[in-house]
This record gives sequence, structure tokens and C-alpha cells, in this order.
Amino acid sequence: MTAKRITIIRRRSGWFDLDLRPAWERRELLLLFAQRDVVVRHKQTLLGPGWLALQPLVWAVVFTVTISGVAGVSTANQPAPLFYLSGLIVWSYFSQVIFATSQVFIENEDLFSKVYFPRIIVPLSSLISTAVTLLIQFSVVVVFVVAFQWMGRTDGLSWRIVAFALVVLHLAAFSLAVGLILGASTAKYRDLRFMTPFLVQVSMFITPVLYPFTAIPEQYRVAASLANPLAAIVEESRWCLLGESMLTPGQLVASLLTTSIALACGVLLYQRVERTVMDTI
Amino acid sequence: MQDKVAIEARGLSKKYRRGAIGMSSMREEISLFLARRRDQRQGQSNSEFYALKDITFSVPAGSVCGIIGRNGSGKTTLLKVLTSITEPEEGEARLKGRVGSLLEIGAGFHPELDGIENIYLNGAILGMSKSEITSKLDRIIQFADIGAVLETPVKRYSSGMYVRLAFAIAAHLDPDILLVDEVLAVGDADFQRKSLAKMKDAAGEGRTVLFVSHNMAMVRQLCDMAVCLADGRLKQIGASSSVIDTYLLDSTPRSVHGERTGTEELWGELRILEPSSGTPCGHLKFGGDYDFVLRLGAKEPFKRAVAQVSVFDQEGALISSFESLAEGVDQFDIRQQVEVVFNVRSLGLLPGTYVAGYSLYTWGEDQARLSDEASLSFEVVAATVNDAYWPYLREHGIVRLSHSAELRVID
Repeated sequence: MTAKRITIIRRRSGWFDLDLRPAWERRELLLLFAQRDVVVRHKQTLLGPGWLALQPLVWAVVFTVTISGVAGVSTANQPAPLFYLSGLIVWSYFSQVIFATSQVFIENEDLFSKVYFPRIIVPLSSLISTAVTLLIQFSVVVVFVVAFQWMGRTDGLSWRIVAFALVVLHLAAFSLAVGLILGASTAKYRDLRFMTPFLVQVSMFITPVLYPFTAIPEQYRVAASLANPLAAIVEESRWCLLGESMLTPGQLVASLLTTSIALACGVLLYQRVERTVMDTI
Repeated sequence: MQDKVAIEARGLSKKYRRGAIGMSSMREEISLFLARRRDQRQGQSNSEFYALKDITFSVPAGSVCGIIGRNGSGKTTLLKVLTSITEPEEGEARLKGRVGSLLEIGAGFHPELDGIENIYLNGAILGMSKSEITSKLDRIIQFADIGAVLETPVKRYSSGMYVRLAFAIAAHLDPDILLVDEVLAVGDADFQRKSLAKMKDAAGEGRTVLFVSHNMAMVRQLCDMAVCLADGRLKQIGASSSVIDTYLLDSTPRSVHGERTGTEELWGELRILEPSSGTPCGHLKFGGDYDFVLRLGAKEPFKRAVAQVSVFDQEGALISSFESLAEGVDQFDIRQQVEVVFNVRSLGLLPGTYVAGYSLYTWGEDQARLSDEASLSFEVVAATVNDAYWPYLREHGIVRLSHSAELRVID
């Protein structure tokens, strides 16, 4: 007989008693959850994935007319629609992951109280299903960049576009970090649920989506990246898509630093809460 | 000897805060913190109680072990700890082999997905790999036997089809250790038979099954050993028949008269009275008339109440429930005290020993606000009907369905 695996059930003590192996072993479940979310999102809808392409386009038009046109806010010498689109797709990924993950224990209460699997699988799966949305929106932006290039309004695509994959990793890591922290806290204190939409709205304004990063005085840019890694991520996206960015290595490092710390905190907090949260939810 | 043990629990304990089931807000948390500090100073803690206390037992591989005990004795908590849904506070358990848990069938079914998609999703949630599901897919489909609807979203399924599909997946989980809650109590008789057979097969194939149930007849039939819990503690472990016998003996109600149960704030008291004299009785005559009287009292007005009285046989199987709404008594408010009287005429319960209990609900809620499964026990004694010479006896079954009989001579 082959050696059988032994499941040991005991109280895990402390914050750092972390085991991510079970989550890796259940990666098929992770993909199935992501697949479910993608499939279900478009069932019985008229336009299907078309909605995903339409949303940032509508916003880009609105912002081009209001923020750039009426208010006259600078778009860093880029065609306004491209400027907004390249930032919006990043912010919209962030906000979708936050909304999904911050409610994870509440929305999955039924499931979690009946079956065990590593709980982190659910937030991870929403990173993937939301990435599908991002991919669709990214393709739309690429089409627009090519169109503007044809009109001679922008330098157009370059090899830099490949680096967008890294931008997605950075973005996913930060979104997961914030989502896990909110999800773990919301499970314990339901009042925090009201904070999530508020936080997402605020993030739109404190992130240079509607204004250029250069609007922040130069001496504060590193601090801004440190305080809000999303600011640097938006700039990374613009660097990949539009070829121009004010991002310095210092700002990039600052953003990565905060992202890593937040992610570590998020994962630890989440696994701490998941152990007994089903007793109190 | 060591490898023969499939489940080994040592000193499992888990504490809950009384009344803290539910979400806390930060304000509550602060007041709770203060309360706990006060308790500590007084050297006591009345806000905490043990849902499980020092549970130690082991289950040999290949046996079917029942977990029995009254409501709130910790059965479900134990199952949730063993399935990793929640963590124990102290102690340790070791489960040898692949563990499958069935606290609910169809967990994670998505209404928008079709049958096949849900087989994969639910299978993966239960712990099967994709390739494993693919190899078992045909058998699962065959077992479910729901035909062409497999390609329709499950939200369009009848509840029967839903349960069949869900169970078909669960039945093909094939773990070394299966932890089962009373999921078998759902579905029609045919389905229950099928699932019982499947559990027996599992045991035959050397799998270990841990089965939590209220139904003593089922535990007796299915399990070779049993664990009895009471107030979170392990009361007895051993051969299922002897554990069940002791449990039934102990859970025989405190008296034939019934006594007040509940709290100062909300209580109930069930009695069986002879209608003409109004005297309580513990021995009922088969075919006689009796009133099941449930007196309910509440300190604060209890609004929109619905009362239910249930009669169980000695094994704990439900024989009959009387419900106030179904009997035509509208939802009522309890200010001070009320009595709900269920009139039982020409008692159809055949001779034997029975247990009666009651529950009190708020209209529209599933969870009872007050419940006592075993308020009193009563004996039905043999008696004749229709001036017959021969009485009805225990061996005739549980209920008498006929009313009278006649003889027609056919020429």
C-alpha cells in the first residue's frame, strides 16, 4: 500500500503559521472558479463581453469631454482618449478585484461553512477572471492606439507593450493585497463593508487616472508612489501603451515596496481570519 | 496496529462565546472586551462555553462510526473541526488518507451553469481532480439518471433532479475517510435507500465513514461503532448498539409529566391530559382521546408565534408533528402565558413507548426560538377497538391507518 497522506488538524498558532501548499494543490479548483465567473458573467446578456469593451470607452469619452475639454486638465501631451483609457483599465481592474474580494467571506458563507478548501483560492480566482476582462479592455486600447498612430497623433506601439504582462502582475499583486485586507476585516467587522465602495471611489481621485502624474510636484512623487502604489502602476501602463511616462526607478521601487508589504500583510491577515471565521460569520 | 487507525482525535476542544454567533461590530467588540476583563477580575467567565471539551477517540480504518447526541451536544462542531472548516482551540486530530466531507450535497452548485459544468465544479470543490472527474463522468451521469437535462442550467432543475445530480457526484468521491452529516435525510425514500446502500458499499471497500445523525435507527443499521456526545464532552464510545441503548435510556425524558424547559425569558411546558378530567397521564390507551397541551410563557411579549409538537419513536425517528398553523390556529402573540392545545382523538399510535417534544418558532423563520426534543415520554398501552376481542399490540407497527373493517360475502 502506498503511503497515505495524513491530515493533521490542530490550532495553528501565531501569525506566520502559513502553508500555501494546499492552495497550490487545488489549482484546478482555482481555474474552475475563474472559469465559472467568466462564463456566468456573460450568460443571458445581450452584448456579452461587449459590455467590458464598452465601459472604458464610454468613460473615456465622458472624461475627454469634461475633464480634458471643459476643465482643460492636461493629458501629458497624449491624445486625451488614449491617456484616459490606459489609466482606466488599470483602475477598473483594481476596483473589480476589490469589490469581489472584500465580500469574499460574506458572499461565500454557505459554501465555506459546508466544505473546506484553502480559502485564498477564491480571491486568487477573481484575479484571473478579472484579468480576462482586463485582456479584453487592453485589446480595445491597443486598437485605439493603432488608430491614433495611423492618424499620426501618437508614436504608437513599440516593444514596450510586452512589458504589460509585468504591469498586470504588479497590478494583480496590489489589488489582491488590498482585497485580502478588506475581505479579512469585513468578515470580522461588518461595518467596514460600507467603506469599500467609498475607498474605491477615493482611489480614482488619488490615483493619476484623470490627471497626469506630473501634476504631483516632483519632490512628492516617490512619496506618492509609496503611499499609493496604484499611481505608479497607472504610469507603468502608460509607459507600455503610449511610450511616455514620467516614472523614475525610485518611484517604481517605492511602489513595489509598498505592494510587497501590503501583500504580505494581506495574506497573513487573511489566513489568520479564515481559520475560525466560520464560527462568527 | 497504528496503521489501522484512520481517525485519531486527542483532546479536541473548542470554545464559543455565548450569544456571539453572528457578526460583531467594532462597538460590540469593545464592550465585549470590557465584559471579559470584568469577568476575569471576578475570576469567572460566563460568556464562554465549550462546544467541544477534551474529545479523545479513535476510529479504526474500515469502520463506520456514528456520532450521536442531542441538539447542541457538539456533533456538528466536531464534524466542522474534523473537516477543517473551523479550527479547534486545543488538541489535535489525525486523519489518515484522503478525506472527503459531505456536510451538504451540491455545495457550490451554480444555478447558471449546466449539469456537466456543475459536476466539474462541485467535484473539484469536494476535492476531486479534473482527470478523475472526467474518468468518472459517465458513471456519475448514469447514477444521477436525469437524462437530457444535463445540458440545461441547474436553475431549471426540479429539486428532485438537483438532489440526484448532487448525490451522484458525492457518491463518486471515493475518499479513504468520509465525513457525513445528515445529508441522507433529504430526498425521497428511494433516494435514501440508494444513498444508504452507497455508504454501506463504502464501508465494505475498506473506507472509513464518520456519520453524524439524529436517527438512531439509521445509525444502528449502518454503523458498527458509535460515539455519543453530551454538552460537548465525549460520553461514551463503543459498539453502536450499546452506545445507542445507553443514549436512549439517558435521553428518556426527565418525567412523564414534562417540566418547564427554556429560560426565565421564554419557556415551554408540554403535558398530555385526559380531556374529560384534565389529569396528566403517562399511559395512553390506544384509540383513546387526549389533549397535548403546550404551555408557553414569555417575559417580553413574543410576537407571531407558531408552535409545534412532535412525537418520536424510541429510536428517535419522527412519527408525527402537529403544527399550530396547519391545525388552523393563526400565528399568535405570547404575553405572559398561553396554552396551545392539540386535540388528539382516537389515538392511532400503536402500543409502544414514544417521546414527545415541542418547538416554538417565529412565523416565517426556520430556526426554532425554543425547542425541546424530548419533553416527556409516554406509553401507549394495548386496547381493543370497535368492540373487538383482539387488541392491537406492539407488533402491529407504529400507526393504525384503518378505521374499521367489514366482511362481505361474495356468492
